[in-house]
Amino acid sequence: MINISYSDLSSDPRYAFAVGKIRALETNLITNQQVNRLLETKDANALWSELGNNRDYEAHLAQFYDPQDFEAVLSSELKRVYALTLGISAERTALELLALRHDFHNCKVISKACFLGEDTDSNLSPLGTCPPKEWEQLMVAEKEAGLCRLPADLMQIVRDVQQQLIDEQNLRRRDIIWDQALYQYLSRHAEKSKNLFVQTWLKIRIDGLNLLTYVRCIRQKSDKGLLKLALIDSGTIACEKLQNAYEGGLETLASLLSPTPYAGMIQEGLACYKRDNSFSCLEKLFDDYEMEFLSQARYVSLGVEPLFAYLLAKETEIKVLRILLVGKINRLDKTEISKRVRRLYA
Amino acid sequence: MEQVSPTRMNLLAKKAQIKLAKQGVDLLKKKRDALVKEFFAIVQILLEARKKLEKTAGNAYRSLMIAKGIDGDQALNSAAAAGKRDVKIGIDRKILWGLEIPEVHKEGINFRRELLGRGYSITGVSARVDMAGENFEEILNQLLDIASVEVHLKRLGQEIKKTSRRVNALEQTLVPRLTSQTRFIKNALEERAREDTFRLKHIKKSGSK
Repeated sequence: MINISYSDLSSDPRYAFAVGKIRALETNLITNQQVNRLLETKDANALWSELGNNRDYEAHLAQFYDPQDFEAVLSSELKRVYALTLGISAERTALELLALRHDFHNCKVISKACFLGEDTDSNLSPLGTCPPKEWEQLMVAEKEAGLCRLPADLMQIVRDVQQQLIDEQNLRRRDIIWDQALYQYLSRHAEKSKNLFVQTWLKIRIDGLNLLTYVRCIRQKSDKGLLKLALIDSGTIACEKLQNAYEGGLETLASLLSPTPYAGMIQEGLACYKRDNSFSCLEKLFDDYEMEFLSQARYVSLGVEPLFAYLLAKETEIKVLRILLVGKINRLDKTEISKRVRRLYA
Repeated sequence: MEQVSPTRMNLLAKKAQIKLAKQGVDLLKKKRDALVKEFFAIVQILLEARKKLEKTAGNAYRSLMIAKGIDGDQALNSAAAAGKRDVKIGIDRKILWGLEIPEVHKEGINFRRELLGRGYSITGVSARVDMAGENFEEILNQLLDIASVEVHLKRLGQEIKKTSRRVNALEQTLVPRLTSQTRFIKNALEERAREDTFRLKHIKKSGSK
Protein backbone atom coordinates (compact mmCIF):
# COMPACT_ATOMS: atom_id res chain seq x y z
CA MET A 1 0.00 0.00 0.00
CA ILE A 2 1.32 3.46 -0.86
CA ASN A 3 1.49 5.32 2.42
CA ILE A 4 2.09 8.99 2.93
CA SER A 5 4.01 9.90 6.05
CA TYR A 6 2.20 12.04 8.59
CA SER A 7 4.68 14.89 8.08
CA ASP A 8 3.79 15.04 4.36
CA LEU A 9 0.08 15.50 5.05
CA SER A 10 -1.25 19.06 5.18
CA SER A 11 -1.78 21.10 8.25
CA ASP A 12 -3.54 24.24 7.13
CA PRO A 13 -5.61 26.05 9.77
CA ARG A 14 -7.85 27.55 7.05
CA TYR A 15 -9.48 24.10 6.79
CA ALA A 16 -10.60 23.92 10.42
CA PHE A 17 -14.27 24.58 9.62
CA ALA A 18 -14.30 22.58 6.37
CA VAL A 19 -12.76 19.47 7.93
CA GLY A 20 -15.13 19.71 10.90
CA LYS A 21 -18.10 19.86 8.55
CA ILE A 22 -16.82 16.98 6.44
CA ARG A 23 -16.23 14.85 9.55
CA ALA A 24 -19.87 15.45 10.49
CA LEU A 25 -21.03 14.63 6.95
CA GLU A 26 -18.94 11.48 6.82
CA THR A 27 -21.29 9.93 9.37
CA ASN A 28 -24.00 10.00 6.68
CA LEU A 29 -21.90 8.05 4.21
CA ILE A 30 -23.24 4.60 3.46
CA THR A 31 -21.23 1.88 5.20
CA ASN A 32 -20.33 -1.59 3.96
CA GLN A 33 -22.84 -3.05 6.43
CA GLN A 34 -25.59 -0.81 5.06
CA VAL A 35 -24.71 -1.96 1.55
CA ASN A 36 -25.19 -5.55 2.67
CA ARG A 37 -28.59 -4.59 4.04
CA LEU A 38 -29.50 -2.86 0.77
CA LEU A 39 -28.34 -5.94 -1.12
CA GLU A 40 -30.69 -8.10 0.95
CA THR A 41 -33.79 -6.05 0.05
CA LYS A 42 -36.29 -7.98 -2.02
CA ASP A 43 -36.62 -5.56 -4.93
CA ALA A 44 -35.79 -2.09 -6.25
CA ASN A 45 -38.76 -0.48 -4.46
CA ALA A 46 -37.67 -1.88 -1.11
CA LEU A 47 -34.13 -0.69 -1.75
CA TRP A 48 -35.49 2.73 -2.69
CA SER A 49 -37.41 3.10 0.55
CA GLU A 50 -34.44 1.82 2.56
CA LEU A 51 -32.28 4.44 0.87
CA GLY A 52 -34.79 7.09 1.93
CA ASN A 53 -33.62 6.53 5.52
CA ASN A 54 -30.23 8.00 4.68
CA ARG A 55 -30.05 11.71 5.49
CA ASP A 56 -28.12 12.56 2.33
CA TYR A 57 -30.70 11.03 0.01
CA GLU A 58 -34.00 11.66 1.81
CA ALA A 59 -34.48 15.14 0.27
CA HIS A 60 -33.91 13.82 -3.26
CA LEU A 61 -36.10 10.80 -2.73
CA ALA A 62 -38.95 13.03 -1.59
CA GLN A 63 -39.12 14.31 -5.19
CA PHE A 64 -38.76 10.96 -6.94
CA TYR A 65 -40.92 8.03 -5.93
CA ASP A 66 -39.92 5.67 -8.69
CA PRO A 67 -36.60 3.74 -8.47
CA GLN A 68 -36.35 4.11 -12.26
CA ASP A 69 -35.47 7.76 -11.63
CA PHE A 70 -32.29 6.76 -9.83
CA GLU A 71 -30.01 8.53 -12.32
CA ALA A 72 -31.63 11.88 -11.52
CA VAL A 73 -31.30 11.28 -7.77
CA LEU A 74 -27.69 10.10 -7.87
CA SER A 75 -26.67 12.88 -10.24
CA SER A 76 -28.28 15.60 -8.12
CA GLU A 77 -26.67 14.20 -4.97
CA LEU A 78 -23.23 14.23 -6.61
CA LYS A 79 -23.86 17.75 -7.87
CA ARG A 80 -24.77 18.82 -4.34
CA VAL A 81 -21.60 17.27 -2.89
CA TYR A 82 -19.38 18.88 -5.52
CA ALA A 83 -20.93 22.30 -4.86
CA LEU A 84 -20.64 21.81 -1.09
CA THR A 85 -16.99 20.70 -1.00
CA LEU A 86 -15.86 23.32 -3.51
CA GLY A 87 -17.82 25.91 -1.53
CA ILE A 88 -16.21 25.21 1.84
CA SER A 89 -12.68 24.55 0.62
CA ALA A 90 -10.17 27.31 1.33
CA GLU A 91 -8.25 26.37 -1.82
CA ARG A 92 -10.08 25.00 -4.86
CA THR A 93 -7.13 23.64 -6.91
CA ALA A 94 -7.08 20.15 -5.40
CA LEU A 95 -10.85 19.63 -5.63
CA GLU A 96 -11.04 21.13 -9.10
CA LEU A 97 -8.82 18.27 -10.21
CA LEU A 98 -11.82 15.96 -9.79
CA ALA A 99 -14.22 18.32 -11.53
CA LEU A 100 -11.83 18.73 -14.45
CA ARG A 101 -12.36 15.07 -15.39
CA HIS A 102 -15.97 15.97 -16.13
CA ASP A 103 -14.90 19.02 -18.15
CA PHE A 104 -12.76 16.81 -20.34
CA HIS A 105 -15.58 14.28 -20.61
CA ASN A 106 -17.83 17.08 -21.89
CA CYS A 107 -15.17 18.26 -24.35
CA LYS A 108 -14.79 14.71 -25.63
CA VAL A 109 -18.56 14.26 -26.01
CA ILE A 110 -19.01 17.61 -27.80
CA SER A 111 -16.07 16.92 -30.09
CA LYS A 112 -17.38 13.42 -30.87
CA ALA A 113 -20.91 14.69 -31.48
CA CYS A 114 -19.65 17.41 -33.84
CA PHE A 115 -17.59 14.83 -35.71
CA LEU A 116 -20.53 12.40 -36.01
CA GLY A 117 -23.16 15.11 -36.45
CA GLU A 118 -25.19 13.97 -33.46
CA ASP A 119 -26.90 15.45 -30.44
CA THR A 120 -24.84 15.78 -27.25
CA ASP A 121 -27.17 16.91 -24.48
CA SER A 122 -27.97 13.61 -22.78
CA ASN A 123 -24.30 12.61 -22.42
CA LEU A 124 -22.95 15.82 -20.91
CA SER A 125 -21.98 15.98 -17.28
CA PRO A 126 -23.05 18.93 -15.11
CA LEU A 127 -20.20 18.29 -12.64
CA GLY A 128 -17.37 20.08 -14.42
CA THR A 129 -15.83 23.41 -13.44
CA CYS A 130 -17.81 25.01 -16.27
CA PRO A 131 -21.36 24.39 -17.49
CA PRO A 132 -21.49 22.20 -20.63
CA LYS A 133 -23.10 25.07 -22.57
CA GLU A 134 -19.95 27.14 -22.14
CA TRP A 135 -17.88 24.30 -23.51
CA GLU A 136 -20.21 24.09 -26.48
CA GLN A 137 -19.81 27.83 -27.05
CA LEU A 138 -16.05 27.49 -26.91
CA MET A 139 -15.78 24.39 -29.06
CA VAL A 140 -18.64 24.72 -31.52
CA ALA A 141 -19.31 28.43 -31.81
CA GLU A 142 -15.59 29.15 -31.20
CA LYS A 143 -16.45 31.99 -28.88
CA GLU A 144 -14.09 33.02 -26.14
CA ALA A 145 -15.68 36.24 -24.99
CA GLY A 146 -17.74 35.83 -21.86
CA LEU A 147 -16.10 32.51 -20.97
CA CYS A 148 -13.95 34.12 -18.30
CA ARG A 149 -14.57 31.31 -15.86
CA LEU A 150 -12.39 28.97 -17.89
CA PRO A 151 -8.74 29.11 -16.87
CA ALA A 152 -6.43 30.26 -19.68
CA ASP A 153 -4.27 27.11 -19.61
CA LEU A 154 -7.35 24.90 -19.84
CA MET A 155 -8.69 26.89 -22.80
CA GLN A 156 -5.29 26.59 -24.40
CA ILE A 157 -5.12 22.82 -24.00
CA VAL A 158 -8.62 22.45 -25.49
CA ARG A 159 -7.62 24.66 -28.43
CA ASP A 160 -4.43 22.59 -28.91
CA VAL A 161 -6.37 19.34 -28.92
CA GLN A 162 -8.89 20.76 -31.39
CA GLN A 163 -6.01 21.75 -33.63
CA GLN A 164 -4.62 18.20 -33.47
CA LEU A 165 -8.04 16.76 -34.29
CA ILE A 166 -8.54 18.74 -37.50
CA ASP A 167 -6.95 16.05 -39.68
CA GLU A 168 -7.75 13.08 -37.46
CA GLN A 169 -10.62 11.03 -38.87
CA ASN A 170 -10.16 8.00 -36.61
CA LEU A 171 -12.57 8.17 -33.67
CA ARG A 172 -10.42 6.01 -31.45
CA ARG A 173 -7.36 8.16 -32.00
CA ARG A 174 -9.45 11.27 -31.34
CA ASP A 175 -10.55 9.76 -28.02
CA ILE A 176 -6.97 8.82 -27.13
CA ILE A 177 -5.80 12.39 -27.84
CA TRP A 178 -8.45 13.70 -25.43
CA ASP A 179 -7.51 11.18 -22.74
CA GLN A 180 -3.82 11.97 -23.04
CA ALA A 181 -4.61 15.68 -22.81
CA LEU A 182 -6.79 15.08 -19.75
CA TYR A 183 -4.12 13.24 -17.78
CA GLN A 184 -1.40 15.64 -18.90
CA TYR A 185 -3.50 18.52 -17.65
CA LEU A 186 -4.48 16.74 -14.44
CA SER A 187 -0.82 15.99 -13.66
CA ARG A 188 0.06 19.65 -14.15
CA HIS A 189 -2.91 20.68 -12.05
CA ALA A 190 -1.94 18.23 -9.29
CA GLU A 191 1.57 19.73 -9.27
CA LYS A 192 -0.05 23.13 -8.92
CA SER A 193 -1.98 21.99 -5.87
CA LYS A 194 1.35 21.22 -4.13
CA ASN A 195 -0.42 18.48 -2.23
CA LEU A 196 1.37 15.13 -2.06
CA PHE A 197 -1.84 13.26 -1.20
CA VAL A 198 -3.59 14.53 -4.32
CA GLN A 199 -0.54 13.93 -6.51
CA THR A 200 -0.17 10.37 -5.21
CA TRP A 201 -3.86 9.65 -5.74
CA LEU A 202 -3.53 10.75 -9.37
CA LYS A 203 -0.48 8.55 -9.83
CA ILE A 204 -2.36 5.57 -8.38
CA ARG A 205 -5.28 6.26 -10.73
CA ILE A 206 -2.94 6.46 -13.73
CA ASP A 207 -1.15 3.25 -12.68
CA GLY A 208 -4.49 1.49 -12.37
CA LEU A 209 -5.55 2.64 -15.83
CA ASN A 210 -2.20 1.65 -17.35
CA LEU A 211 -2.23 -1.80 -15.78
CA LEU A 212 -5.78 -2.45 -16.93
CA THR A 213 -4.89 -1.22 -20.41
CA TYR A 214 -1.96 -3.65 -20.40
CA VAL A 215 -4.17 -6.61 -19.47
CA ARG A 216 -6.89 -5.60 -21.94
CA CYS A 217 -4.33 -5.34 -24.75
CA ILE A 218 -2.99 -8.81 -23.86
CA ARG A 219 -6.50 -10.26 -23.89
CA GLN A 220 -7.20 -8.75 -27.31
CA LYS A 221 -3.75 -9.80 -28.57
CA SER A 222 -3.22 -6.20 -29.70
CA ASP A 223 0.18 -5.13 -30.94
CA LYS A 224 2.66 -3.16 -28.87
CA GLY A 225 1.82 -0.03 -30.86
CA LEU A 226 -1.64 0.24 -29.36
CA LEU A 227 -0.28 -0.20 -25.85
CA LYS A 228 2.28 2.52 -26.49
CA LEU A 229 -0.43 4.83 -27.76
CA ALA A 230 -2.82 4.19 -24.89
CA LEU A 231 -0.45 4.25 -21.90
CA ILE A 232 -0.49 7.44 -19.87
CA ASP A 233 2.72 9.01 -18.63
CA SER A 234 3.23 10.29 -15.11
CA GLY A 235 2.19 7.22 -13.13
CA THR A 236 4.60 5.56 -10.71
CA ILE A 237 5.27 2.69 -13.15
CA ALA A 238 7.20 3.93 -16.19
CA CYS A 239 5.40 3.35 -19.49
CA GLU A 240 8.63 2.05 -21.08
CA LYS A 241 8.83 -0.72 -18.46
CA LEU A 242 5.29 -1.82 -19.30
CA GLN A 243 6.02 -1.71 -23.03
CA ASN A 244 9.16 -3.80 -22.58
CA ALA A 245 7.30 -6.33 -20.45
CA TYR A 246 4.42 -6.62 -22.96
CA GLU A 247 5.90 -9.47 -25.00
CA GLY A 248 6.18 -11.58 -21.84
CA GLY A 249 2.45 -11.39 -21.13
CA LEU A 250 0.81 -11.50 -17.72
CA GLU A 251 3.59 -13.42 -15.94
CA THR A 252 6.11 -10.69 -16.77
CA LEU A 253 3.65 -8.08 -15.51
CA ALA A 254 3.40 -9.86 -12.16
CA SER A 255 7.20 -10.05 -11.80
CA LEU A 256 7.57 -6.43 -12.97
CA LEU A 257 5.21 -5.29 -10.23
CA SER A 258 6.56 -7.56 -7.49
CA PRO A 259 8.80 -4.86 -5.93
CA THR A 260 5.98 -2.24 -6.09
CA PRO A 261 3.13 -1.67 -3.64
CA TYR A 262 0.77 -3.19 -6.21
CA ALA A 263 2.35 -6.68 -5.97
CA GLY A 264 -0.30 -8.32 -3.77
CA MET A 265 -3.21 -6.74 -5.57
CA ILE A 266 -1.99 -7.61 -9.06
CA GLN A 267 -1.29 -11.21 -8.08
CA GLU A 268 -4.79 -11.61 -6.70
CA GLY A 269 -6.29 -9.74 -9.66
CA LEU A 270 -4.47 -11.81 -12.26
CA ALA A 271 -5.41 -15.04 -10.51
CA CYS A 272 -9.06 -13.89 -10.60
CA TYR A 273 -8.74 -12.88 -14.24
CA LYS A 274 -7.29 -16.26 -15.24
CA ARG A 275 -9.99 -18.08 -13.29
CA ASP A 276 -13.05 -16.09 -14.48
CA ASN A 277 -11.68 -14.66 -17.74
CA SER A 278 -13.23 -11.37 -16.64
CA PHE A 279 -11.85 -7.99 -15.67
CA SER A 280 -14.46 -7.25 -13.03
CA CYS A 281 -12.38 -8.59 -10.14
CA LEU A 282 -9.25 -6.76 -11.30
CA GLU A 283 -11.14 -3.48 -11.67
CA LYS A 284 -12.74 -3.91 -8.27
CA LEU A 285 -9.35 -4.57 -6.67
CA PHE A 286 -7.97 -1.36 -8.20
CA ASP A 287 -10.95 0.63 -6.95
CA ASP A 288 -10.59 -0.91 -3.48
CA TYR A 289 -6.88 -0.15 -3.48
CA GLU A 290 -7.63 3.47 -4.29
CA MET A 291 -10.18 3.61 -1.49
CA GLU A 292 -7.69 2.15 0.96
CA PHE A 293 -5.25 4.88 -0.02
CA LEU A 294 -7.93 7.55 0.43
CA SER A 295 -8.72 6.31 3.92
CA GLN A 296 -5.41 7.87 5.05
CA ALA A 297 -7.21 11.20 4.83
CA ARG A 298 -8.89 10.29 8.14
CA TYR A 299 -5.64 11.15 9.92
CA VAL A 300 -5.63 14.72 8.57
CA SER A 301 -7.35 17.21 10.79
CA LEU A 302 -6.43 20.41 8.95
CA GLY A 303 -6.09 20.15 5.20
CA VAL A 304 -7.80 19.56 1.89
CA GLU A 305 -7.29 15.77 2.05
CA PRO A 306 -10.52 14.95 3.96
CA LEU A 307 -12.54 17.01 1.45
CA PHE A 308 -10.82 15.35 -1.47
CA ALA A 309 -11.33 11.89 0.01
CA TYR A 310 -14.96 12.68 0.91
CA LEU A 311 -15.72 13.71 -2.66
CA LEU A 312 -14.18 10.53 -4.06
CA ALA A 313 -15.87 8.46 -1.34
CA LYS A 314 -19.18 9.94 -2.43
CA GLU A 315 -18.43 9.08 -6.06
CA THR A 316 -17.74 5.48 -5.06
CA GLU A 317 -20.85 5.39 -2.91
CA ILE A 318 -22.93 6.58 -5.86
CA LYS A 319 -21.28 4.01 -8.11
CA VAL A 320 -22.19 1.28 -5.59
CA LEU A 321 -25.78 2.53 -5.30
CA ARG A 322 -26.07 2.59 -9.08
CA ILE A 323 -24.84 -1.03 -9.28
CA LEU A 324 -27.36 -2.05 -6.61
CA LEU A 325 -30.26 -0.20 -8.22
CA VAL A 326 -29.53 -1.35 -11.76
CA GLY A 327 -29.10 -4.88 -10.45
CA LYS A 328 -32.36 -4.83 -8.51
CA ILE A 329 -34.36 -3.16 -11.29
CA ASN A 330 -33.13 -5.74 -13.80
CA ARG A 331 -33.45 -8.60 -11.30
CA LEU A 332 -29.80 -9.59 -11.52
CA ASP A 333 -28.63 -12.34 -9.22
CA LYS A 334 -27.59 -11.17 -5.75
CA THR A 335 -24.15 -12.78 -6.00
CA GLU A 336 -23.68 -11.19 -9.42
CA ILE A 337 -24.31 -7.76 -7.84
CA SER A 338 -22.28 -8.32 -4.69
CA LYS A 339 -19.21 -9.39 -6.71
CA ARG A 340 -19.12 -5.89 -8.18
CA VAL A 341 -19.81 -3.84 -5.08
CA ARG A 342 -16.78 -1.70 -4.24
CA ARG A 343 -15.24 -1.15 -0.85
CA LEU A 344 -16.62 2.01 0.75
CA TYR A 345 -14.90 4.78 2.66
CA ALA A 346 -17.16 4.69 5.70
CA MET B 1 -75.36 -30.25 -56.05
CA GLU B 2 -74.19 -28.61 -59.27
CA GLN B 3 -76.44 -29.51 -62.17
CA VAL B 4 -74.70 -31.68 -64.75
CA SER B 5 -76.26 -33.00 -67.90
CA PRO B 6 -76.25 -36.79 -67.75
CA THR B 7 -74.43 -37.56 -70.96
CA ARG B 8 -71.84 -40.21 -71.72
CA MET B 9 -69.44 -37.41 -72.68
CA ASN B 10 -69.79 -35.81 -69.25
CA LEU B 11 -69.35 -39.16 -67.58
CA LEU B 12 -66.03 -39.67 -69.32
CA ALA B 13 -64.97 -36.10 -68.53
CA LYS B 14 -65.84 -36.50 -64.84
CA LYS B 15 -64.03 -39.82 -64.66
CA ALA B 16 -60.93 -38.15 -66.15
CA GLN B 17 -61.28 -35.32 -63.61
CA ILE B 18 -61.45 -37.79 -60.72
CA LYS B 19 -58.34 -39.55 -61.99
CA LEU B 20 -56.53 -36.22 -62.27
CA ALA B 21 -57.65 -35.10 -58.80
CA LYS B 22 -56.45 -38.37 -57.25
CA GLN B 23 -53.10 -37.98 -58.97
CA GLY B 24 -52.95 -34.41 -57.61
CA VAL B 25 -53.73 -35.64 -54.11
CA ASP B 26 -50.94 -38.20 -54.34
CA LEU B 27 -48.46 -35.60 -55.56
CA LEU B 28 -49.46 -33.06 -52.92
CA LYS B 29 -49.20 -35.69 -50.20
CA LYS B 30 -45.71 -36.55 -51.37
CA LYS B 31 -44.80 -32.84 -51.37
CA ARG B 32 -46.23 -32.43 -47.89
CA ASP B 33 -44.28 -35.41 -46.59
CA ALA B 34 -41.06 -34.03 -48.07
CA LEU B 35 -41.75 -30.59 -46.58
CA VAL B 36 -42.52 -32.08 -43.15
CA LYS B 37 -39.29 -34.07 -43.30
CA GLU B 38 -37.36 -30.90 -44.17
CA PHE B 39 -39.23 -28.99 -41.44
CA PHE B 40 -38.25 -31.44 -38.72
CA ALA B 41 -34.66 -31.55 -39.92
CA ILE B 42 -34.42 -27.75 -39.62
CA VAL B 43 -36.45 -27.34 -36.46
CA GLN B 44 -33.81 -29.16 -34.43
CA ILE B 45 -31.03 -26.91 -35.77
CA LEU B 46 -33.16 -23.85 -35.07
CA LEU B 47 -34.03 -24.91 -31.54
CA GLU B 48 -30.37 -25.41 -30.70
CA ALA B 49 -29.38 -22.09 -32.30
CA ARG B 50 -32.18 -20.30 -30.44
CA LYS B 51 -31.09 -21.80 -27.14
CA LYS B 52 -27.55 -20.58 -27.83
CA LEU B 53 -28.85 -17.15 -28.83
CA GLU B 54 -30.97 -16.86 -25.69
CA LYS B 55 -27.92 -17.67 -23.57
CA THR B 56 -25.77 -15.12 -25.40
CA ALA B 57 -28.53 -12.52 -25.19
CA GLY B 58 -28.86 -13.14 -21.46
CA ASN B 59 -25.11 -12.67 -20.98
CA ALA B 60 -25.11 -9.57 -23.17
CA TYR B 61 -28.01 -8.02 -21.31
CA ARG B 62 -26.37 -8.78 -17.97
CA SER B 63 -23.04 -7.32 -19.08
CA LEU B 64 -24.81 -4.20 -20.39
CA MET B 65 -26.61 -3.75 -17.08
CA ILE B 66 -23.33 -4.15 -15.19
CA ALA B 67 -21.62 -1.59 -17.43
CA LYS B 68 -24.58 0.74 -16.95
CA GLY B 69 -24.48 0.21 -13.22
CA ILE B 70 -20.78 0.91 -12.78
CA ASP B 71 -19.99 3.39 -15.53
CA GLY B 72 -23.32 5.17 -15.76
CA ASP B 73 -25.41 6.25 -18.74
CA GLN B 74 -23.21 9.15 -19.81
CA ALA B 75 -20.03 7.11 -20.25
CA LEU B 76 -21.91 4.24 -21.85
CA ASN B 77 -23.80 6.40 -24.36
CA SER B 78 -20.66 8.27 -25.25
CA ALA B 79 -18.80 5.00 -25.94
CA ALA B 80 -21.77 3.63 -27.88
CA ALA B 81 -21.90 6.71 -30.12
CA ALA B 82 -18.35 6.02 -31.23
CA GLY B 83 -19.09 2.38 -31.97
CA LYS B 84 -21.77 2.98 -34.62
CA ARG B 85 -21.10 1.53 -38.06
CA ASP B 86 -22.81 0.34 -41.23
CA VAL B 87 -22.67 -3.35 -41.91
CA LYS B 88 -23.17 -4.86 -45.36
CA ILE B 89 -24.58 -8.34 -45.75
CA GLY B 90 -25.62 -10.26 -48.87
CA ILE B 91 -29.03 -11.88 -49.30
CA ASP B 92 -29.57 -14.58 -51.94
CA ARG B 93 -32.78 -16.37 -52.86
CA LYS B 94 -32.99 -20.15 -52.98
CA ILE B 95 -35.91 -22.05 -54.54
CA LEU B 96 -36.94 -25.21 -52.70
CA TRP B 97 -40.15 -27.09 -53.62
CA GLY B 98 -41.31 -23.91 -55.31
CA LEU B 99 -40.61 -21.90 -52.16
CA GLU B 100 -38.51 -18.75 -52.27
CA ILE B 101 -36.17 -18.78 -49.28
CA PRO B 102 -33.77 -15.93 -48.50
CA GLU B 103 -30.24 -16.88 -47.51
CA VAL B 104 -28.06 -14.44 -45.58
CA HIS B 105 -24.42 -14.40 -46.61
CA LYS B 106 -21.95 -12.94 -44.16
CA GLU B 107 -18.85 -14.74 -45.33
CA GLY B 108 -15.79 -12.78 -44.40
CA ILE B 109 -17.75 -10.53 -42.05
CA ASN B 110 -17.18 -11.02 -38.37
CA PHE B 111 -19.24 -8.62 -36.35
CA ARG B 112 -17.00 -9.16 -33.36
CA ARG B 113 -14.59 -6.26 -33.40
CA GLU B 114 -11.22 -5.92 -31.84
CA LEU B 115 -10.50 -3.49 -29.05
CA LEU B 116 -9.30 -1.02 -31.65
CA GLY B 117 -12.38 -1.32 -33.80
CA ARG B 118 -14.99 0.18 -31.53
CA GLY B 119 -13.90 3.75 -31.98
CA TYR B 120 -13.18 4.61 -28.36
CA SER B 121 -10.00 4.98 -26.39
CA ILE B 122 -9.32 2.06 -24.07
CA THR B 123 -8.14 4.36 -21.32
CA GLY B 124 -11.36 6.32 -21.21
CA VAL B 125 -13.70 3.36 -21.40
CA SER B 126 -13.78 0.48 -18.95
CA ALA B 127 -13.38 -3.22 -19.73
CA ARG B 128 -17.02 -3.70 -18.77
CA VAL B 129 -18.05 -1.72 -21.84
CA ASP B 130 -15.74 -3.92 -23.97
CA MET B 131 -17.45 -6.95 -22.51
CA ALA B 132 -20.94 -5.61 -23.29
CA GLY B 133 -19.80 -4.67 -26.80
CA GLU B 134 -18.28 -8.11 -27.41
CA ASN B 135 -21.41 -9.89 -26.23
CA PHE B 136 -23.75 -7.79 -28.38
CA GLU B 137 -21.52 -8.30 -31.43
CA GLU B 138 -21.74 -12.04 -30.81
CA ILE B 139 -25.55 -11.71 -30.73
CA LEU B 140 -25.40 -10.06 -34.15
CA ASN B 141 -23.32 -12.94 -35.50
CA GLN B 142 -25.76 -15.51 -34.17
CA LEU B 143 -28.85 -13.52 -35.21
CA LEU B 144 -27.78 -13.47 -38.84
CA ASP B 145 -27.04 -17.18 -38.74
CA ILE B 146 -30.46 -17.84 -37.31
CA ALA B 147 -32.37 -15.36 -39.50
CA SER B 148 -32.37 -17.36 -42.75
CA VAL B 149 -33.06 -20.64 -40.92
CA GLU B 150 -36.00 -19.05 -39.15
CA VAL B 151 -37.43 -17.59 -42.36
CA HIS B 152 -36.86 -20.97 -44.05
CA LEU B 153 -38.79 -22.70 -41.29
CA LYS B 154 -41.59 -20.14 -41.36
CA ARG B 155 -42.01 -20.48 -45.12
CA LEU B 156 -41.92 -24.28 -44.83
CA GLY B 157 -44.61 -24.12 -42.15
CA GLN B 158 -46.80 -21.90 -44.32
CA GLU B 159 -46.29 -24.18 -47.32
CA ILE B 160 -47.13 -27.30 -45.30
CA LYS B 161 -50.32 -25.63 -44.13
CA LYS B 162 -51.19 -24.59 -47.70
CA THR B 163 -50.48 -28.05 -49.09
CA SER B 164 -52.54 -29.74 -46.38
CA ARG B 165 -55.41 -27.38 -47.15
CA ARG B 166 -55.17 -28.29 -50.84
CA VAL B 167 -55.04 -32.03 -50.11
CA ASN B 168 -58.07 -31.69 -47.86
CA ALA B 169 -59.93 -29.65 -50.46
CA LEU B 170 -59.27 -32.28 -53.11
CA GLU B 171 -59.95 -35.27 -50.87
CA GLN B 172 -62.90 -33.94 -48.91
CA THR B 173 -64.66 -31.73 -51.46
CA LEU B 174 -63.66 -32.10 -55.08
CA VAL B 175 -63.28 -35.89 -55.34
CA PRO B 176 -66.56 -36.66 -53.44
CA ARG B 177 -68.41 -34.10 -55.58
CA LEU B 178 -67.05 -35.54 -58.81
CA THR B 179 -67.80 -39.06 -57.59
CA SER B 180 -71.39 -38.15 -56.76
CA GLN B 181 -71.77 -36.40 -60.11
CA THR B 182 -70.40 -39.51 -61.86
CA ARG B 183 -72.80 -41.64 -59.88
CA PHE B 184 -75.68 -39.34 -60.82
CA ILE B 185 -74.76 -39.48 -64.54
CA LYS B 186 -74.26 -43.24 -64.38
CA ASN B 187 -77.67 -43.68 -62.69
CA ALA B 188 -79.33 -41.37 -65.18
CA LEU B 189 -77.75 -43.20 -68.11
CA GLU B 190 -78.71 -46.61 -66.69
CA GLU B 191 -82.23 -45.37 -66.06
CA ARG B 192 -82.36 -44.11 -69.63
CA ALA B 193 -81.09 -47.48 -70.91
CA ARG B 194 -83.74 -49.32 -68.85
CA GLU B 195 -86.47 -47.00 -70.18
CA ASP B 196 -85.28 -47.66 -73.75
CA THR B 197 -85.34 -51.39 -73.20
CA PHE B 198 -88.81 -51.16 -71.68
CA ARG B 199 -90.01 -48.93 -74.50
CA LEU B 200 -88.63 -51.34 -77.15
CA LYS B 201 -90.25 -54.34 -75.41
CA HIS B 202 -93.55 -52.40 -75.20
CA ILE B 203 -93.42 -51.49 -78.93
CA LYS B 204 -92.51 -55.09 -79.82
CA LYS B 205 -95.43 -56.40 -77.75
CA SER B 206 -97.97 -53.95 -79.26
CA GLY B 207 -96.65 -54.76 -82.83
CA SER B 208 -97.18 -58.52 -82.42
CA LYS B 209 -100.82 -57.91 -81.32
